[in-house]
Amino acid sequence: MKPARLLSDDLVEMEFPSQAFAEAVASRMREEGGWLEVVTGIDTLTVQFDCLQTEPDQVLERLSSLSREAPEQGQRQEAFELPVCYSPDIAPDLESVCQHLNIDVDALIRLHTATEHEVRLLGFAPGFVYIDGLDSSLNVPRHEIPRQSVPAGSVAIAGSQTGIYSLASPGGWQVIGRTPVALFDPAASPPNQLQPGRPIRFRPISIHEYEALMRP
Amino acid sequence: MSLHVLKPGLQTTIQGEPRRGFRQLGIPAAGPADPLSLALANRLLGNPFLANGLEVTLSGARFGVDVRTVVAVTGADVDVAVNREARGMHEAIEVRAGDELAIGGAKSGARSYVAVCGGIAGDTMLGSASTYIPAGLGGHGGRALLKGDELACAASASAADASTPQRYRPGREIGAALRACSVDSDGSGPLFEQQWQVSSRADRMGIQLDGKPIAGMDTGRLPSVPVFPGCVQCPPDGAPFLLSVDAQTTGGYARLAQVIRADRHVIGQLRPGDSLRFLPRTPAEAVAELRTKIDYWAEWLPGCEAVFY
Repeated sequence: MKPARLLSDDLVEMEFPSQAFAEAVASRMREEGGWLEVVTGIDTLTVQFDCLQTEPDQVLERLSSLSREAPEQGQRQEAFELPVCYSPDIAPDLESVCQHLNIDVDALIRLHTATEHEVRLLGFAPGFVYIDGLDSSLNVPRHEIPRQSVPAGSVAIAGSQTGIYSLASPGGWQVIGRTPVALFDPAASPPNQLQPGRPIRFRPISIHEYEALMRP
Repeated sequence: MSLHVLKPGLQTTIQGEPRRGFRQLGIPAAGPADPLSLALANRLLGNPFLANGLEVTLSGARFGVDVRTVVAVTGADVDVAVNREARGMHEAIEVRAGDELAIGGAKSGARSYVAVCGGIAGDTMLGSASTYIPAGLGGHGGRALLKGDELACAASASAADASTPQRYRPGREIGAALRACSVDSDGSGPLFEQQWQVSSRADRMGIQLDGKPIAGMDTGRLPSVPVFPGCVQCPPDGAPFLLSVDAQTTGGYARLAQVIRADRHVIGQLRPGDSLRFLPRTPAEAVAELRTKIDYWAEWLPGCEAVFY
């Protein structure tokens, strides 16, 4: 493992062999407190600390000691089942993605819902969820020009991942469906229902079910 | 109600304490883009330095006053008037119900701050009332203020001081220098070698810089890493992007540098057309310079460490 390094007066970054490892170290650091921000990227962890109170060596040592401990094998979590409506009425890229892949909508739904996926990362915007485990035959590029606004609940794919726009935001992923489930609620604690490492399954629902679930 | 919005201007938001500790959920800290200026306004009124105030962007704004209170205006160089009578920045201004407070367009700098005695009430979400517009968090309904919005302030009290001493009134210059730690090398490199111009793509999320494009940035997509306000990223087109208070939490572009904690408040006053240089610093130098800056401000703003974030 590479040693942690200082990015500036108040930021330390460390690379890990896997994101599960980075996430395990991150959750230990969040539990012990005293750090301003503890954020994971893909296989990396960055700590923002108060450089007036804490010497960078203290952060570097804490990171290297935690990373010498192998991450505990957490109990396998139950898969989160997310209802998704795959309908061109609410998924603007569904038909063009199918054309691009030369498959029909039913085949796309089968490929997207047959297997278990896993939440990888939260960010870049509040409520955005990166999910690993996309069937390799569903690999499509992002839009060259991102949309100004993608509606909340949009389920989209790009490259090897599925992404969920829990809140409306700009974005360039190919939208293939929409979920009626509100995954991000700023009044809840934590505000995100899904956390990294959580297995997830997509369950196809009809547009009628979607509309029924959307009614208050 | 204590204030109502007559003219909201380009973008006026409630900003106060940043929303710390939620970047792992994709939630930026928000807060004032220039926290030092908000602190100076609050200081005159005896408020906590980061009590909620109004951040007014570039164009001016006008407010109707519905209660007897004291206000102060700091930040970008603007004209201030009460009932069309000129008043000064960095002064405690007594106002009464029926008065009209006008903030002019910024002559230099980008953001002015209006503080009110006792602070302005905002929607508190995840421990902060600072507005984060992209997710509709905090502030007034999570959005920029609109004409007719009514804002609540605490009951009137008296100001702590009449005005800010001259030496504690930050100057606004059109050329800025930001001290920064080089992310991947020894502090040399094209970012530090030339003068940049702030482009018209400049908001609370970040600022695109115009200049001679940096070569060799077409490295394809990198794995996403956490990014923070003050990070200078460079997309494949070679035009660097300086992240500000509402910066996204992760980014996949090459990183060039990280502006040091002592200088991040300056980013909030950069406006299109300003010129900008980066000065290389080591992390150890950066901490020493932060301490020097805090020592300078401590006499007027005792305990101001949290203002520099």
